[in-house]
Amino acid sequence: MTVASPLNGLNILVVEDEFLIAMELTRMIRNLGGQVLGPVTTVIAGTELLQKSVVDGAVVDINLGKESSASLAEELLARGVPLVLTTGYSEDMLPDVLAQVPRLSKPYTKSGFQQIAVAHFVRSSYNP
Amino acid sequence: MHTRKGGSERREWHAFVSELHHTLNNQLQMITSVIALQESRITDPQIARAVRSAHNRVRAITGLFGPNSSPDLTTVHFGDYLALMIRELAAEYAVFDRIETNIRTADIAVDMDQAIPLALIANELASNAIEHAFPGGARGKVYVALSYAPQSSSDSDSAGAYGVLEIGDDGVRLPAWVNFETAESTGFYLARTLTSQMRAKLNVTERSIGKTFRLAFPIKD
Repeated sequence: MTVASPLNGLNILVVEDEFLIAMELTRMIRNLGGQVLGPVTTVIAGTELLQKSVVDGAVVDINLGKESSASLAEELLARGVPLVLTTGYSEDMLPDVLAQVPRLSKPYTKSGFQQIAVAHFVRSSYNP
Repeated sequence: MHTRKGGSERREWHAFVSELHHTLNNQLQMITSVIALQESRITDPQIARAVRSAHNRVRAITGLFGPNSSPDLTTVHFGDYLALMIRELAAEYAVFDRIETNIRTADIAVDMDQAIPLALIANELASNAIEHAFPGGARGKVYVALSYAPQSSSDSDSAGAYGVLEIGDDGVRLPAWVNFETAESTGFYLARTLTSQMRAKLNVTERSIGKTFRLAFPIKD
């Protein structure tokens, strides 16, 4: 890991149904040195990737348009995968089980994303 | 205006506002994402600078609709918003290693219709300091302060309470050929125009080292 590439060597799953937002998330993760799994736009696609890949962290939009990603988020939590939720909702609209998960409120910025990604993914994956 | 709504009606209203909030925030995120995408593909430095300025202006507005706005989006906790906005601006310019930001903000609730021009003025003045006050990679400080005064003075045409936004630096003075009152640059033009819209007063004090812009603006009760 370097300061310029703090996510170096980490596989980050991206679950986001809006393509423009997913593209920008992908770019930000790669700029931080991370590998992107996805982006995927559905719970099924996310679950498939989770089952066949090593996932070091996940950025998950809680509302995928026609479905909620809460079940996938809970599965990630159960597997101990560090998770950041992105949402345009206020906190009280999240399921109780996800209330304590780090959350990035839309509209977020590059530096806001970088801060939460580095704090959560890098620290969580550091096992000396 | 909704008053004395029943329980189910209140829940429906809450759900409606939440959905509206979600949709708005998602769309604001798409706007900033598409501008960031465009910005990342530009190689011409002059065009890149122009797009970055546009991106900063859009981000100054979209940030108002984040965690510091009231649930009904009518007011903004402007002190918290401003502190976050300035830190993010410094991060976008990647100047933490040479420009220190000193931020002191009071918690002032500002109406959204006033918060938008105020945010844009703050963005212009802070961007100007970060971009131009420390040429050639010089080191220095940018000062940002937001305070509240309960009564008007000569600062404001308003008889009521007013806020004061100060953005300064300890860098170089404005170039001799730049008159803030008449400068045609987009940033200063926007700052002057929006100051008029807010019925506020904006002036600049230049010192031997650095300068401070001071905006006094009326606060609605």
